[in-house]
Amino acid sequence: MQTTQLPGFRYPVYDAQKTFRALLDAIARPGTLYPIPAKLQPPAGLTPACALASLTLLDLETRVWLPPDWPAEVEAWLRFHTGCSFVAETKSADFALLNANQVQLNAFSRGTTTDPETSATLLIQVADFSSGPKVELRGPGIQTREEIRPAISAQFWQQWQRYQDYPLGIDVFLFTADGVLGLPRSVNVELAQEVR
Amino acid sequence: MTSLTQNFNFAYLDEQTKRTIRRTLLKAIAIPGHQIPFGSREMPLSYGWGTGGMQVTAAVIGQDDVFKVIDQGADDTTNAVNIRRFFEKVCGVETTESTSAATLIQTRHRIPETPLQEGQIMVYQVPIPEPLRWLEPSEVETRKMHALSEYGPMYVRLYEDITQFGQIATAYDYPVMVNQRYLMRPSPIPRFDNPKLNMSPAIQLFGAGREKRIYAVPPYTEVKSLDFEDYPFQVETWDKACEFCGSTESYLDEVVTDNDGGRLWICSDTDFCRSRGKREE
Repeated sequence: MQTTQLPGFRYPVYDAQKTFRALLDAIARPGTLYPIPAKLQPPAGLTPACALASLTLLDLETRVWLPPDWPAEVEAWLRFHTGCSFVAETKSADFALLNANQVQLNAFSRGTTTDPETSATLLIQVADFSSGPKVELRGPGIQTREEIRPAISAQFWQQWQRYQDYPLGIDVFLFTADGVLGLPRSVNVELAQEVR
Repeated sequence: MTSLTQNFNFAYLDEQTKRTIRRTLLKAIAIPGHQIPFGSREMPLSYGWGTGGMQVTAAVIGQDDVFKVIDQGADDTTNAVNIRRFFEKVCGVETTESTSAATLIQTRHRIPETPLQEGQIMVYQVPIPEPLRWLEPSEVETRKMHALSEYGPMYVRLYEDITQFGQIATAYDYPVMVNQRYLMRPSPIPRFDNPKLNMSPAIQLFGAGREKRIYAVPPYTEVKSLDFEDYPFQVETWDKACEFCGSTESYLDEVVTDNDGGRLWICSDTDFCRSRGKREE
């Protein structure tokens, strides 16, 4: 097994706290973009924001799924810095790291009716928050409505509409290089008209 | 940072515990009103003195936060002073008594009178998180009732109040429905504060240390106090004004002043009362 040479957090306590607050704000106000201020040098294949969130959330208690075609360096880096375990079965993952074009929502667990919190959380890397299909969000955390257009396919939003079954469902964070956008399961998504 | 007590991690809790609480908080926000179990730790004060709220605060607080603690609305009561000093000691953060200057407010049994703003976080200390507990002692059963949205018994209880007293007599911990799905105990805040939960711009986090539960209400979320069409929800009113600031809109505490039945009414929110007093001088 390959061991990583790359460092993790520069200031483990403060960087984790700052990153967590960005994640908390993001999931509490879906559709609003929050910067992740901490700095770090991620392994190839991870954006800095997604890498910071991974170090903030993962540890030996979490089961993580990575796409099989991702560089081994990512797995080695996460294993070294967080001690998380990796699973091959998507349904048993607490967290999954993905690129925007790899998302298959219904592969992951939505939790159970008594324990909806056992569902998966997806950390998805997107190129930007401005070049995708326009969608309108409503729900808790949003005063009236929010319009966003992250670089993720219309199919993703259609899967969202079909597969989320509140209070069961999957919670998603979208990351660019330095920002995060939260999409809790409680959000209602409407695609703006013509979808190609 | 030099004044920080050494030999403690920032905010007292170890990073592993903070991570589990943080993961729980993110799920709690995603499922507003749903109680999530967490591995509650021993804190350097007894269960029942706000250990749940303190653990949530410890997982959330950062160096840039301005921290306020209230106990029944007051900044200067034992519980509030102790918790505020504790976080001064283990975080070295700035503290305040002003509601509008605070970014993080830990509270026992009140919501400040001054309206909360976007960007603020409220942390509630919760003794009993389960709204159905006195109706159904079994945790297995109450979890099933939440899963099925089976909240009829709570309406029966409120109905029994009306048949006995002519009104819904629950004065604090008045049950609310969050995002039209989960029945939630708002912690023992007076019924008077319930409307402030609804569509609040602040993030509201609830921690129960002894009962090992965390739940949350995100900003701009519908929080409806249970009621009936013919017996709508009502808040308490007083025909008195605060003795100090003259307020007639705030929650008033009755204070007995002597042995001859002398009493006066004062604002329970000390910061609100003081800032009003200043304005009118």
